[in-house]
Amino acid sequence: MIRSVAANLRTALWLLTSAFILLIMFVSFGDVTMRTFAKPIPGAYEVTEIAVGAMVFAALPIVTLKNEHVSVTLLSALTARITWLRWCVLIVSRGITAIVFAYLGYRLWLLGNEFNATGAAAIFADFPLAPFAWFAGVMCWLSAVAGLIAAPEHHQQQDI
Amino acid sequence: GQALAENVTLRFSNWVPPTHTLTVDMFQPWAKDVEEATEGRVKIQFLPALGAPAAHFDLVRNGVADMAFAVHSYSPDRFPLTEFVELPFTAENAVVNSVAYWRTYEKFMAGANEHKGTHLLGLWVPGSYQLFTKTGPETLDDLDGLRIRIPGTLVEEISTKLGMVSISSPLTEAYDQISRGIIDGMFQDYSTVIDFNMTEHMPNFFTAPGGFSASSQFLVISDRAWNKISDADKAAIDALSGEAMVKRFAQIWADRNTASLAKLREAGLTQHMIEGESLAQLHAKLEPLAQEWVAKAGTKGVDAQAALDFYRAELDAVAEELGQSRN
Amino acid sequence: MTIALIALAILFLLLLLEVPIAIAMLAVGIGGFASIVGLPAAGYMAADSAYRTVHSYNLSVIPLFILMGNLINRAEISKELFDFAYRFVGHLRGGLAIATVISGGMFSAVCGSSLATAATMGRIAYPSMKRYGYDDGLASGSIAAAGTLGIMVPPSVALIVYGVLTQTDIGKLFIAGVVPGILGALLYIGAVMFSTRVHPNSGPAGERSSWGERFNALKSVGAVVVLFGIVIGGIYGNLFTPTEAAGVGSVGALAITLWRRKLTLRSFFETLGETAVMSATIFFILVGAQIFGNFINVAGFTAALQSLVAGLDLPAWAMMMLIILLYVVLGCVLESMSMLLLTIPIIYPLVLSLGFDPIWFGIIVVTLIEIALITPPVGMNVYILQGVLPGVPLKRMFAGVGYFVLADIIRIALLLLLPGLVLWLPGLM
Ligand code: NA
Ligand code: NA
Repeated sequence: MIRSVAANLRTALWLLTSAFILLIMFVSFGDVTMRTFAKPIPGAYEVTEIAVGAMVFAALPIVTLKNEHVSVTLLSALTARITWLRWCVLIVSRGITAIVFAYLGYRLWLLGNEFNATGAAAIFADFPLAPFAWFAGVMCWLSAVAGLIAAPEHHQQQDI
Repeated sequence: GQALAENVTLRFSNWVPPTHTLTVDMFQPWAKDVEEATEGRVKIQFLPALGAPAAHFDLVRNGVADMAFAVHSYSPDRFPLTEFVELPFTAENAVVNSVAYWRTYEKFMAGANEHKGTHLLGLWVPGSYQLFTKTGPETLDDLDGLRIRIPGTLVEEISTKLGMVSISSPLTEAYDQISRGIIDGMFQDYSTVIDFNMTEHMPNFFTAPGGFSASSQFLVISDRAWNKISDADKAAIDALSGEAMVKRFAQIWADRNTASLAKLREAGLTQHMIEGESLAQLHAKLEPLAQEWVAKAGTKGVDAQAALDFYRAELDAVAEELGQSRN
Repeated sequence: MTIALIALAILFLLLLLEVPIAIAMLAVGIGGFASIVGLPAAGYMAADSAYRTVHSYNLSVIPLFILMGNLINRAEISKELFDFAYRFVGHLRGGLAIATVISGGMFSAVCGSSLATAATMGRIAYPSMKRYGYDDGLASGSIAAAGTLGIMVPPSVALIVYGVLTQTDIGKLFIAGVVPGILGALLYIGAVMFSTRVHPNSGPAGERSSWGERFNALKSVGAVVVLFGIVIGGIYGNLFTPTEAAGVGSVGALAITLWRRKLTLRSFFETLGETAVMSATIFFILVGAQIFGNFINVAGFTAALQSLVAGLDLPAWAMMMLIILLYVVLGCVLESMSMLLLTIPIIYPLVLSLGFDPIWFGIIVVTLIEIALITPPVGMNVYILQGVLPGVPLKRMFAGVGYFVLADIIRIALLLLLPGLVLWLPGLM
C-alpha cells in the first residue's frame, strides 16, 4: 500500500520535474528567438526562475529516495563488515537528514505565508510567489519521509 | 522601552561591494560617526551579504541582520507610497530631490508604517534615470519598438507609454545584454553607466529636465536591535539620521553625478536634450502616471494628491533653501 | 573564530558519518547561525537562502548544460568520437588511452560535467582497452583523467558555479578554459606516452587505420563541432549570454538526437528526469554551502582569517603557492563541488586583495578541482568509474592516475608562469 503510493508519487514527481525542465528549455530558447523579432516573452526571466526552483524542489524527494545526495563514503569502506556500526552510521545519517528536511520544509512554508501576507509576486509575468514557497516546503517534507524509507545502499552518480 | 546603557554591536548586512562608494563614502563614515557619538557603545559590524539584494528588508525585519541598505523597487508593489519619487520630471539634483522626498514621506506617509518591523533611518535617491541608447532615434516617435531593459514596474509603464518593448533583467545581465545588442538601451543614472563601463555600447543619451524616473534607496534598523539601544544613544543616532543622513548621502551622489556627466561627455557620448515641442509631447504621454499613483496610494489611507502637491512645491522650496539648482 | 572552528569540526564529523554533504552544511549552518542570532532568525535565513538560491535565473544554465550533455549522450555521439580518435592514434603504443583522452576532451566540449564525461568514456573506452589487453591502471587512469576535462573545456558547471559565487563573467570564464583545456589534453597524452614507455606492456598498440577509414570517421564529428560552434562561438561572438547559449545548446542537442532517431518518448522523459535529479543534487549542495557560508560570515571567520593572513606578511606568489597547496590537500579528502563552495567565499576575497586576476584564478581553481577529482582517498571520478567498471579494484584505479596527476601539476606550473595561456583568448572578446 505505502509502497504503491510512494511509487505513484515518484512517477508523478518525475513527470512534473521533467515538465519544468522542458519549460526552462523552451522559454530560454523561445525568448532568444522571439527577441530577434522584437517580441520577447513577457517575464521570461521570472518564469525561468520559478521553473528552475520548482524543478529542483520537485526532484528533491526523488534524489533523497534514490539516495543520490553526494556524501563522503570514507567510513563505509572501513566499516563495511561491522554490521552494527553500519546501522549506527545509517541511523544517524538518516535521522539528521529527516530532521533537517522537516525543519527546512517548515521554514519554507512560513516563508510562503510571509510571501502571501506581503503580496510578493512575479511582477512582469504576473503571478504570486507564495504557492511556490509552499510547494518547496511540501517537497522538503516529502524528502524527510523519503530519507527515512530510502534503500540503504548508496548511489553516487551526480556531481560537477 | 527600558534604557540599557549596554554596548551594542549591530550586524550590517552589506550587499554592495566593499569598494563601492555606498560602503566607503557613505555607510562606513556614518558608522564611525555613530560610534563616536555614542562614545563607543554602539558599534556597526559590516558583513558581506547574508542574502540576495531584494531580500534585505525582510532579512532585517526577521532579525537575520540588524541593519541593511536596500532599494525599494527591488520589491515591486511592496512600498507603493514611496513610488511618487519614481515619477518622471522631478529633480535631477539628488540632494534637492532627496530632501523633498524625505520631508514628504515624513509628513504624509510615516504613519502608514510601510517599513513595519523596522526603524527607517533614511531614504534618498542616487540621481535620475535618463534614457541611454545604442542607436540614435531622432524623435520620440522613433522610440517605437526599441528594446529597452527595465529595472522595475514604474519604468516599465514609462517605456510602454513610449511604445518601447520592455525586457526585464537583473542589473548583472545588463552589461551582457547591451554589449551583445540584446537590448537597444536602458533607463539609467549617469554614475551607473560609468561604473559598469557601458559608455562604448550606448553612444546616445536623451535627457529630460527632472529625469524620466529615479530609484529610491533606504537604510533600516530592526525594531528589535533599535530597542536594545539606550534612549540617549538613540537620540545621538537620530541626530545623524533622517534629513541629516539624506542630505549627507545624496550630496555624495550629486557630486558623483556631476563628475559622471562630465565623463560621459568626455567619452564622446551625444546628449540629446528633450525640450520645446518634444518635451511637451513627452509630458503629455507620461502625464497619466501621476494620477495612476495618486489612485493607488489613495487606497493606503494617505492623502496622496496633497502629498504629491506638497512634494512638487517642496522641490522648488528646497532648491531655494539650499541655494542649489533643481536640475 | 572559536565557534567557527567548533562548527568546522562538527561538519567534518557529520561528513564522516555519511550525512549527505548538503544536509551536513545545512545542519551546521543553521545550528551555528542560531547560536549567534537565535533559531527563528536562523530558520528565516535558511528558508530565504534555499528559496532564492534555487529560484535563480543565472543558475538556470546548470540544468540546461546538463541536459545538453545528457541528450548528446543519448545520440551515441561519444562512441563515434572515440572511434574517430582511435582511427588516428590507435596504432601508437597506448593508442587507445590517447584516443580516450582526445575523445574525452571533445565530449567535454558539449558536456559540462566531469563525472558525466568520465562515466561516458568509461562505458565506451574501457571494453576496447580490455580487449587489447591494457593494464587496468592505465585504462581507468586515462578515463578518470580524461573525464576531468569536462569542467575545464567549456561548457563547465564548475566555472558557472565559480562565476556565480564570485560574480565573474561566465562567458569570459568559458572562453578562458579553452586553451588550458587543450593544454590539459596534450599533457595527458604526454602522460600516456611516458607511462607506456616506462611500462611497455601496459598499453599495446592497435592496428593502423587507412586514410579512407580516417576520412569516414571524420564525418561523425560534425555534430559536436556544430553544437560547440553555436554555443561557445555564440558566446565568443557576443551573439548571446551564457544563459541563453545554454537554452540554444539544449534545443540544438535535442534536434541532433531527434535527427539521429535515437530518442523515444520514454527515453526522452528518462533523460529529462535524470537531468533534473543531477541538477537537484548540485543545487542542494549550493543551498547548503550558501547557508553554511552565511554562518561563517556572521561568525566573523573570513575577517579573522584575512587579518591572520595579512599578519603573515608573505609576498603574493608565496601566498598563491600556499593556497594551491591548501587546495591539493583539501582536494584529497573533500568532494570537488563542496570544496569549491566551502573555500571560495573565504579564499576569493583574499586572492583579490593580493591582486590576482579573477578569471585566471577561476581557471587555477578548476584545475585544482580536476586534480581533486582523481586523488585518493576521495576522488569522485574514480568512484564513478568504480560504478561503471566494478571488476577493477579501487586501489588499482588510484595507482593508475599517478602520471596524470603529475601532468596536472605541470599544467598548474605552466598556468602560474604564463598567465597569458588563460587570459589571452578572453582578452580578445
Ligand atoms: Na565541458
Ligand atoms: Na580527491
